[in-house]
Amino acid sequence: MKKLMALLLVLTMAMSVASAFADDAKVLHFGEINPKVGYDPQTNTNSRATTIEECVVEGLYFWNDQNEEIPVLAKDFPTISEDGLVYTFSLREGVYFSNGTELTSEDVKYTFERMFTPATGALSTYMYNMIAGAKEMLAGEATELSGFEIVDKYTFKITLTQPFSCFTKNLGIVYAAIFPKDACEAAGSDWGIGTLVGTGPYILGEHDNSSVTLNKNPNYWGSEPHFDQIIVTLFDDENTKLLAFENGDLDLCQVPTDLYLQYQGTETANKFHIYYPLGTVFLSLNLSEEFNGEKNPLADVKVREAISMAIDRETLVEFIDNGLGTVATGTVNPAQLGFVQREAYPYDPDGAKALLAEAGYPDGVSFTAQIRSTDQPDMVQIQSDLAAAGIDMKLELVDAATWTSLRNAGNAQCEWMGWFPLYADPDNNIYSYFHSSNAPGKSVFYNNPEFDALMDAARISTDDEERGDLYAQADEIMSRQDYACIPLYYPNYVFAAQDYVTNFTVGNLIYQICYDVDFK
Amino acid sequence: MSKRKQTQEYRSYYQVSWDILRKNRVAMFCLLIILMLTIIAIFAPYLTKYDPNATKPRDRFQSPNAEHPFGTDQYGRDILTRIFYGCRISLSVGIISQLIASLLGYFIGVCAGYFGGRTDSVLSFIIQVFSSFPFLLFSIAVMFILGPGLVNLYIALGLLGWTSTARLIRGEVLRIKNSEYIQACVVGGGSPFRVIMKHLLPNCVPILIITVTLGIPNAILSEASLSYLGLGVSPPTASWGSMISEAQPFIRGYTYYSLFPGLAIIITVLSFNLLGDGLRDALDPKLRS
Repeated sequence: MKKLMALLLVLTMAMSVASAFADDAKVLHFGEINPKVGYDPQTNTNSRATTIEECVVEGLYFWNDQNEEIPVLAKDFPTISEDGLVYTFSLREGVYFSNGTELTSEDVKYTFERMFTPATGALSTYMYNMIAGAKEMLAGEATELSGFEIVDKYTFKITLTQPFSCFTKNLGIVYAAIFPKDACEAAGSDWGIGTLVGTGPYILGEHDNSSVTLNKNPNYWGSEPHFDQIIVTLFDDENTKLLAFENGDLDLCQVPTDLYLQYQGTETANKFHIYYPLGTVFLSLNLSEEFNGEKNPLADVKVREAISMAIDRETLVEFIDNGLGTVATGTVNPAQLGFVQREAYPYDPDGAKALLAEAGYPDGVSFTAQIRSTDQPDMVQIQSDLAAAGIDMKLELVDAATWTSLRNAGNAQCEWMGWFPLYADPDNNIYSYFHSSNAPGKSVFYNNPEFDALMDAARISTDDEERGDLYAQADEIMSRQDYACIPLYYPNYVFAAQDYVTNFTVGNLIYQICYDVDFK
Repeated sequence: MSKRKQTQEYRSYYQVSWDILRKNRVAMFCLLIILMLTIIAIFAPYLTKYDPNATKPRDRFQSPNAEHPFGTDQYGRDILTRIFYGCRISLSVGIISQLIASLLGYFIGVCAGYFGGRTDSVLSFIIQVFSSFPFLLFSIAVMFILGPGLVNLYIALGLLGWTSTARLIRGEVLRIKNSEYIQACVVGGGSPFRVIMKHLLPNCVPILIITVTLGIPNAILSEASLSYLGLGVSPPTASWGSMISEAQPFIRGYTYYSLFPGLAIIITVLSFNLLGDGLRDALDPKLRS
């Protein structure tokens, strides 16, 4: 009994100490929908998980909220050889992982080798597989990355198989975050689930299905983190998340666009802020001659132009999307290299009918769009627009997993697509979607050698002005002449921040909560 | 020859049942509602001036008003109109799937009961297996395989809802198959088919009426659940379940959006259930006072 009493006493004391600490501690409460994936940036590409990962692990470079790339673990941008193949990097010296080991070239080599080991199941290898030896590793033919040369503790060279202008840009994405070799090897399959160690400003603390605690890294190499703790509360439902924000339980969270309207005129709406991600929403079309053994009307460019003409984009953006977007005039986003302000796409249902008749479909055409429930608002509106022009778009509601497998197998005919690059370069979203080497995997099957040649040239060129020019031409061909997709709008997103939250911005989809954000 | 006073005229079983039902005010009220719903389902296009599917984004999210008594949805479509059209889906799914289920249930139940022996063991086993599946999960699996669509809904709910009918029919057949008139028919050379259709079926009709009436609300609820989960009808077709699903994100800002389809489901399901109770009271001789 005495023991029990003593224990209780100790517990009470411990709790009061803890609560005293909690009172003084500066804590950021961030609300997010549960990503339901681990936190290993190599094996998931979920932007919600990325928000948490970026607090803990860092890469050689980093894209900040102003969409500028800055050196982080690398001392500076690399020196590139004449032929554009050999990159020499210098690491920042004296940087320690939160487990106490020092960052060296070995860790960088280990990180890339882990990425290319097939057993890891890394998802974003396409962004880095131009490193010499990567493809061999991915094929299981090699266990060492031949294109990676350690010069000394802080210097290393990476050799590419072909010149690639976006290589350094790709290194700024968290998918190439550097892991400590020993800790990552020791964690094995628990990496990203139970354990994640990096050089970042915060250390992954307790985390489960309902919240993630990130504690300040006392030995952080950079400027001191602004918070003692970041608590990310995970929700399953957007309405619940926003209720928590209204109650003051959250300092910061994203607002889904469909719920934006119901807050208009309320006090909460004053705390909403709009940001401009780098992507474009478009109708992705299957251009192959046959679909499901039948003639595919979408293979005809006139039908595609008619679809574009039949859609009232202004109304779609203004009402269905609550004004959160700008009508698109091409597939390249205004914040990207190669954007050109063009004339708006014409909206003309009668013209669309005439075009269809010209294409040999006087009685209209019919096709099926495979949609997820989140695509429904835009697609139901577009369906109604198209029906007015004699185009019968059937909607087939499928779950996200089926949707992905249909697309990967080339068995989707039309989809709603919000496609976002990871940084402001069209190589990352246009090349990866519409180049003939990638289009079949997106169920698009676009193949125009002229377009491909422009995209390839832009990959090799290192002059951004020239590259912008090439992308502008490519976009003109793809979006305005070939109608390889039907661009709809450049979406705007919304976040909610309490009045005392300062310096918070969002560059592109990912909420960077660990650097600039602070309290008044 | 003495004159016998005919104090009571002859009345058939169904006439008596109707008399009993007619005195049950709740059941009659429900019958009236169901008749109304049927009329709405059949004449939906004539009852409203709006197109259920054409969107008018400028008119969206209107609270109930004179133009739109139930308001408009996020696409500016009239909610009342969509409820009218949704009524078609709900009633047709309820009735057609229950007809399929009753047909299946009757023949399997009758075969099990009438032939007995090994046939009975096998069929009863199948009935047991089917009824042990959790209904909604099983129908989700079936819809997943068949794909969304109205006809698939009829089939999925019909193929899964027959077990209770089969059990009841089997029990009833076991009770009456040794009756003298059936023995007489068999002795007279009547084929099993003749016995099943001519003698057993009429005796099972009351059970079928009750199971169909009580099965319809279950089918309607299942349809609503499946459509809510995105496995029912495809957009833009209006179904009460899919309407609630579409309205869910707006439940705090625009409550009426989910309220009206919800009420429609409650009213319809309740009416069928109460009418089914009334029918059982009226048709079961043991319950007649």
